[in-house]
Amino acid sequence: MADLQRYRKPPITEAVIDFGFSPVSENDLQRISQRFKSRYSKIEGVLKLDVNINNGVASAKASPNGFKMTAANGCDVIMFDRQHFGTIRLAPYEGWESLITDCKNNFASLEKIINRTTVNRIGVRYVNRIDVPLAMAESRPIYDFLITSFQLPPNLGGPLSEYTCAATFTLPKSDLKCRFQSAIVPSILIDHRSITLDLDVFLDANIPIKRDDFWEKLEDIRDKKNQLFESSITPLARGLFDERARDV
Amino acid sequence: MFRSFSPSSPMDDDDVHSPKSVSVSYDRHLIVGGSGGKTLVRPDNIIHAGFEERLFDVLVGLKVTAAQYSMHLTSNVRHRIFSELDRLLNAENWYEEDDFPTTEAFRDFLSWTVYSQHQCWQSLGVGNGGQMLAVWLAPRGVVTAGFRGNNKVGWTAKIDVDGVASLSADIGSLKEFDRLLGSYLD
Repeated sequence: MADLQRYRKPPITEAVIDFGFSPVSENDLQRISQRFKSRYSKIEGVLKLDVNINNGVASAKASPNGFKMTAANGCDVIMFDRQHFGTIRLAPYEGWESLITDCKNNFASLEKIINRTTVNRIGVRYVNRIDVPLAMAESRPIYDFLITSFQLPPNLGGPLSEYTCAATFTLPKSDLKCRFQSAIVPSILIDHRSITLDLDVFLDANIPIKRDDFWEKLEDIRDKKNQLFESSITPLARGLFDERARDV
Repeated sequence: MFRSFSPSSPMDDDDVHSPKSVSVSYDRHLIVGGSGGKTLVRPDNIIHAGFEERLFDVLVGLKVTAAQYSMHLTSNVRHRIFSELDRLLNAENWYEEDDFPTTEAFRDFLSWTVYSQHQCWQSLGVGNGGQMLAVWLAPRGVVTAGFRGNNKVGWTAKIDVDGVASLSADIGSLKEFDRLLGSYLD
C-alpha cells in the first residue's frame, strides 16, 4: 500500500486525528487549555453560533464552545470542545509518525482529564488540495483527476468550473465509516484551479478499550484512509504533486 | 470531524452540528434553505491580549497562512520567509501604532512567490496599511515592491543607466510585476 510520505510535495493541507468523548464540564475545558498552552501558545476561542430563520426573520446567538490553539510554528494545532479533541498538522506534512507521536502525547495529557473509556469516536481526516494549472483544468474533465466523481453524459459535458461531491459510507468488510468530500474551488495560486479531496475515516462504535488495541485501530483507520486516497486519484493528478509519477 | 480552517471548500458543513437549514461559517459561507435552526462552531478571537501577545498571534497567523502554500515552497524559501517574519514581528522592533501586515497582502506575496522565479529578495518589510514589502538588489540598482492584498503590487525601481540614476514607479498585477522584475534582474 502506498504511503503518502513518499510524495515529494504531499498535497495535504490538513491532517487531523480526532477523538469524540462524553461531554466534559466547562471547567475541564479550561483545564485542557491550560495544560496545552505552553506548546500551543496562540489561543482562539471557538464560538457556537445558533442561527434561526423563522418566517423569513433571522436571528443569531453566539456562545463560547471550545478552543483552537496553534503552536508558534503555525503548523501544529489542536482544537477541542466539550466533546471532541483534534490534533492537527497543517502543511508541510511531516508524515504519519510525527502526527501520531503528537497525538499520543496530546492524548496522554488529555487522559488526565477525560477517561479513555468514554471515547466514542476516533477518526483520521486528511484534507488534500491538488493544484491544477489553469490550462490543464480548463481542458480536462474532473474524472481525469478524480476517480471518485461523477461523469457527464457522453458528448454533453466538458471541463467543469464548479463541482462538489459529498458522501458518507461504511467501508466494506469493516466497521469503519468514511465521510468523503471533494470539490473544485478557486485556487490560491496564480493561474491554477484546485481540487479538494477531504477524507474523514472514523469509527463511532465499539471503540477498543485496551490501550494497544486503541492505537492499533487508529493505524487501521489510517491505512484505510490511505487506500481510499490512492484509489481516488488518477496518475494525472498524482503527477501534479509528485513529478516522479508523471510518466506513469 | 475537526478541521482547523477552511480556505477553499465551498461545501464543507462539517462544523455544523444540527442537520438542517442554515449554515454560516466564519470565512465565507452562507447557505440558506428551509426553516429551523442550525448550530455551528467558528473560531473567533474572543481572547484579547496585550501588545506582545497580539504581535505573537499575528506572527503565528501569518505562518498558518503560509502553510497553505508550503507544498509549493522549497524548504529554504519557507525558512527565509519565516526568519524574516520572526525578525519583523518582534516586540523589540515593533511600535504599537504600526500597521500589522494584512493576511491578504501576505497571501499575494506568497502567491507571487510560488508563481515567480525571482525569489532572491534581500529582505521583507511591512508598509502602510499592512502592505507586505520586499526588496531586490538588481545588477544596477534596487527594486522595492509593496504587495497590497488586492492582486496589486506597487513598485519602485532605482536603476543606474549610464551613470545616471533612473527612478520609476507603478502599480500593476502580480503577473505584470513579475515580468517587470525579470527585466531588471536578468
